[in-house]
Amino acid sequence: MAIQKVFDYKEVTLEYRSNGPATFTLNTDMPGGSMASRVVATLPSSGGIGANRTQTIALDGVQGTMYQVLITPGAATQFIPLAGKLMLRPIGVYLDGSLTPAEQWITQPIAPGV
Amino acid sequence: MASEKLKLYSKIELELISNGNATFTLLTDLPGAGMVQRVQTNVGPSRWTGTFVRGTWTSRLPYNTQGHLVQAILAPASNVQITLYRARIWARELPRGDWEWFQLPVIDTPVEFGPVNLPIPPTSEEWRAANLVIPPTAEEWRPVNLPIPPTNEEWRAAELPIKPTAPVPDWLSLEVDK
Repeated sequence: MAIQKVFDYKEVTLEYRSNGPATFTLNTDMPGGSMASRVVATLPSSGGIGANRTQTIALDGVQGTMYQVLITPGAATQFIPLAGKLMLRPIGVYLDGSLTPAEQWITQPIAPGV
Repeated sequence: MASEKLKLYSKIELELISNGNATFTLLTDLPGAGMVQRVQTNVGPSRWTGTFVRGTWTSRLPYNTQGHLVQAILAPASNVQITLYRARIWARELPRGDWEWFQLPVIDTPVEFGPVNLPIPPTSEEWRAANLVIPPTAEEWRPVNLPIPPTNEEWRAAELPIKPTAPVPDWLSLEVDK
């Protein structure tokens, strides 16, 4: 079982201003134990640099002990991130068979009901 | 021995999301006195119409699986990820106990998701004044000297261009009639 707590990601909500499209990328370290791109989505223009937009991106099925958010504006796009909120929860038991050594869930010897 | 109560085990149930195969192993301390593997079986992926979903996996145990102590091991195959939500075992106390579920220790995964703010420095909603970098013009006048070279207040000697008279006259030869 992972020593660090593994989190389950639900969605991310971004508030921003932009005059063109941008690309949102979420990197996490699970599965595999190394940071890799898990979600790539487009952030549409907010309608001009003076207009706010709130955009929510689904992250169902994404896990990781760490996360990294990248926002890459398109060519000739100016992008002002104003706020961002990530919804997540800690996973009680997460087993990753791709790690070395592979993870296992092992209980102690238990006397049920005692 | 940790417990004098002997139990008979009948079923094992896991609630999980798995995207591949895993191996479930159950150990008990009877017969004998040490924890020994009694059951090992495959746990398949929790798939429903092509997607991996949270599901329940149940397996019957051999009729004579018994012991004071029980130990469970779940090991995913290579490149398989498992989220384990719950594990319980169907057992009864020998010789006359009733069948009931006993929860095995699985760290709880909360149902609700919680918010985490991304580290974006705040942008103020209000505008504020910022002075442009223009040097200020003074309200008062101040003297500035014109570039006229100064006239010295003192006199100084200046020699006139008079040829000096020699103290001893030179002899001149005069020409006399012969």
